Amino acid sequence: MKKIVELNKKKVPVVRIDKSLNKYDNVVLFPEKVEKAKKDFEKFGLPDLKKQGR
Amino acid sequence: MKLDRYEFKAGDKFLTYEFLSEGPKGKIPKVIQFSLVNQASLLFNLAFGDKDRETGEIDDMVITDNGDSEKVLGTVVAAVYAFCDKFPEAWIYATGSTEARTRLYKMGINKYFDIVQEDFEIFGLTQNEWERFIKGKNYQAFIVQRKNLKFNV
Repeated sequence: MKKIVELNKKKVPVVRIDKSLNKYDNVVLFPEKVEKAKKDFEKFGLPDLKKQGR
Repeated sequence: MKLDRYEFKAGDKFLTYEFLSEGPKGKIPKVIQFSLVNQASLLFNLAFGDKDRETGEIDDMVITDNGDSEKVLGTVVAAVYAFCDKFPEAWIYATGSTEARTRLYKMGINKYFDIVQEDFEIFGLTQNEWERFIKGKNYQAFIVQRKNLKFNV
């Protein structure tokens, strides 16, 4: 029978939820960085995991 | 090696995180945000900055100088783990607001490289392309993706 095993869960911190942070979800707090990310994505795309010998 | 980090809180969607930096300048609230850049590729931008206690404004250009930059970076790494637990297929892009900040990111990746390389694909952006992150090398930006930790037995 197959089962799923997940590794390294212990590295994932326990996170306390604070609903007051939800107000930021639809707000871009760092627009210049997001713009740079878009430009780099358009120019360079994403790394090719296959070519990079994963 | 364990991540030296602050405790943090997150919004319901795990897109925004907040923690307190503690040092000689006092307790300074910091906000980390993952912003969607491209839906089809599940590419998110990672950025963080100080929150002004009075105005609530977020500033990623301010030099806090609270003597805890490594612990702050450790906290950001922990937030990346938390985020990827919810969005395991996401790509996370990060760059500094200045070249000095980008070098600080590089130092952070170097410091925690042995921990994070087990769990993440890590790339740096050269002048021309993405390449696998090489410790000590300068890059314009970074991108990571959680390695697939699920397998059938």
